[in-house]
Amino acid sequence: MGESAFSAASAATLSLCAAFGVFCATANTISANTLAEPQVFASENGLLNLLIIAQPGKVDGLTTPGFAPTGWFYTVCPRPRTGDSCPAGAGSSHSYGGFRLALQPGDELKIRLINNLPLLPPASLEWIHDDPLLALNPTNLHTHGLIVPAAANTTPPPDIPVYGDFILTALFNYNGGNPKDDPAQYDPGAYAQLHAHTDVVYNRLSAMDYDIRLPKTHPAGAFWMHPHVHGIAQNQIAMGMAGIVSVGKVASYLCYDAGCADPVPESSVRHLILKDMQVLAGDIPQYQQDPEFCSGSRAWNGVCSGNPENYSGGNWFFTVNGQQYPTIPVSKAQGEVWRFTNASASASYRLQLIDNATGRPIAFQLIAIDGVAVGFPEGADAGQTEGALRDRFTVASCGKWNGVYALQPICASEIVMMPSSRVEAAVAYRDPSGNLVSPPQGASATLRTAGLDTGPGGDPWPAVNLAAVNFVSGPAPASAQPVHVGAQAANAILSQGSLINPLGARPQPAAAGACKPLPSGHHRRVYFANPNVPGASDGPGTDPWGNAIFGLGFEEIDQSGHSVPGSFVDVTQFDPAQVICLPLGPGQTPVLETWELVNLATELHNFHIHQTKFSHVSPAVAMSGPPTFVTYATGVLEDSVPLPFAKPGPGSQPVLDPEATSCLVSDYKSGKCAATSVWVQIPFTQLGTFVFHCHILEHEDGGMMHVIRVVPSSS
Amino acid sequence: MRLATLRLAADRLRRGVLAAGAFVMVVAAAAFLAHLPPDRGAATGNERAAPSVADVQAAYDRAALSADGLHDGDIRIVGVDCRPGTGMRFSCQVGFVKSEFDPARVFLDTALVERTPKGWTLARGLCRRLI
Repeated sequence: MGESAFSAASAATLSLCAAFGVFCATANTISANTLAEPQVFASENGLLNLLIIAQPGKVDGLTTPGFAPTGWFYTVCPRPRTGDSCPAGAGSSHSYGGFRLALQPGDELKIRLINNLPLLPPASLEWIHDDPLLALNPTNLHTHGLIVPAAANTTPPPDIPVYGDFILTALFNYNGGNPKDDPAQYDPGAYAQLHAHTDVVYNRLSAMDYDIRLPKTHPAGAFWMHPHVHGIAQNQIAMGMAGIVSVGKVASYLCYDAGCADPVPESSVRHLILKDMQVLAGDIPQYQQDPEFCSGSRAWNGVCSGNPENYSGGNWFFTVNGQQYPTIPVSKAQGEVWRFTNASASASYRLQLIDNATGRPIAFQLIAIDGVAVGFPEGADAGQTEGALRDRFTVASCGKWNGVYALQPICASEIVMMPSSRVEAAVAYRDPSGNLVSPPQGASATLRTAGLDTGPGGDPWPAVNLAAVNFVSGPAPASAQPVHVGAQAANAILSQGSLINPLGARPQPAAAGACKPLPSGHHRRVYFANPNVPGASDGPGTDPWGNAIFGLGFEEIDQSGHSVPGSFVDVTQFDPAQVICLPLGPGQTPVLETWELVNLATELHNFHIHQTKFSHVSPAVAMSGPPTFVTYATGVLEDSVPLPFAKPGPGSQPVLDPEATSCLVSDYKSGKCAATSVWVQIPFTQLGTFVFHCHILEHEDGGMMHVIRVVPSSS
Repeated sequence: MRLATLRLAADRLRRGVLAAGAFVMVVAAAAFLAHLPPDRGAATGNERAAPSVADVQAAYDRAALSADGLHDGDIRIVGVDCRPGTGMRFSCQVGFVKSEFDPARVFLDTALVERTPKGWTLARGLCRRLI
């Protein structure tokens, strides 16, 4: 690029940044801060055997002077033959930005997890009153989105316990104090609340093992892993504890041509792990995030400054692969495939790729959501696509294309990513109409989050520039066509009638008590709201310590739309003793249930369920009889979905009490509160005890979670 | 062979003999300890011996009988790993099974057990388990 062209482009960039209300110092420059791929650990011969150590480390990818805080993240290496430490240097990963586990369908993933995390000041933890052991910083792992069994431990002490993707366990640092040995420094009375709790793992190695086997039919795509101890999940993820997982090869579902003679190579795939960290003045990370950290303050590249009232001198960093405002060179003529993972604890992103020359968004071609390729038949109408994609994407034109597409290309000018979501998108230079064209000399763009307000009672997630993007100019791409999504897309998986058949399920005696299948034609209704508890010190939906609390309520609805007597459970905080139990179908076949998700809060929630994925279904279909895979939105399979917030009417709790941030179930039933239900069909195929919850982890830690158990059938 | 090399070789040999001697003593001590009678809770002069599975099971059963509603009655302990704590207390990783669940499922908890003149007692942990 010549100097004059550079200057002109820079001037244009700065003026556009000013127009967006943000300051861009270095957009459109070729920077030494080029985005690096996360370190990869790939399986060999069907096995990936790793040592993962959770420990403190320096966050060294920030470019704002004076900021290199100590976070918590993972050291990862191939499992050594002896010992429980990773050798320094090549072969080990120790990066705030994260890592990638590259698996194939049918693989076995073995992990030894070590907890070397520090103790925490109890006063720094929001949920310390519910669980004083949180100050000991227990941890575990969840392989988010993988459809694998939630196997519990079967190994007695003194051997190290072994789990599948099971999160109802907590690993303590042996050197950090016995979880039950020194209650004096916490609230001894609080132990009375812990008599029903998860596994407590405490051994000389501070270790637990995982052995997770992927089915051979597992979808190929993007997944991730993170800690999941209730009450402290937000803190640990906000400090950096997350990595990503890829399954299969992109060529198995993405090609440049209809016949797939020209599959997309792995070298065209870029992984972008989005994380955020709030750092106080003095370079001190904040364990408990505050969504209003930057309210009223300015934002620029990869950071916004703390509001002067509460966080003067602090900064809130938004990184890609641990790097603050890196540069991404898009050098392939046919563009790249970007796999985004929102690995933030609570922050939501509204991603845009803004052409610095025009100020208009460059459309992304949508490839996959939550690890499954999207699959809308060509000619799918807007109602079908937008019905499935609403609240997650702003659908845009893909321009003109030639030839036949088995599945319709879908493009989006905006991608909303609530916590935990993954999106794969094809990125190439496009004109304002969405056509793939040769990028002009010096073409550049800014990857940014445009900010997202999650509702009247919600959070104002800030607008921040995330990365500079440079397009290499040259002749028009050879194909100049959208890429083709092929086999393994959601529609193909759904048409097979099940996601994955249960593994290893053998008949067991008839389940006792409440472990019964949902009667034919019935569905579950789940309420998302802020529960009211005695002693609330700051209005409805708060606890005695002034914290906002969150919960779920339940009801079984019959084929006529009536509540089944005795099935209603009002909204309450997470209680591990309360379990929804269901058996597999006869012959250990998958069970398909319909759930109606009703958000009564005045903010968005983000439903997520472990060990499976779900598709949208129309209310008419859902109420017409037993669930089938005949859905109205066959194009996507998700494991998380935003739930629209409620609109309180006269006489409802939020109208009567302005401090309240959710309606009551009685408000909803009496018509005082309008809520838009999200209807989903969920195939249950994996055995074990697992959870569903809101993946805004402030809400999950605050109680918006529930246990579900799937057991073998008796026949 | 140079003199310095010879000295180094002699030093290694001496260290090797010492290490071998130490190893023999440790093995002998371990063999001696292995033949001591198992501790069953009473103060027999071996107060720092860690509690066994049977000791922790007995302590748990006594606590469950107190009927405070916090302990289930069907816990069968299948493994313990204890280390000394303060005084006569031991902190233990305890594995147990429950009759209402798959017997292969081993639940894990920590417990503080204390040696008293009446035997081992459960000071904390091993409470009702429902997951």
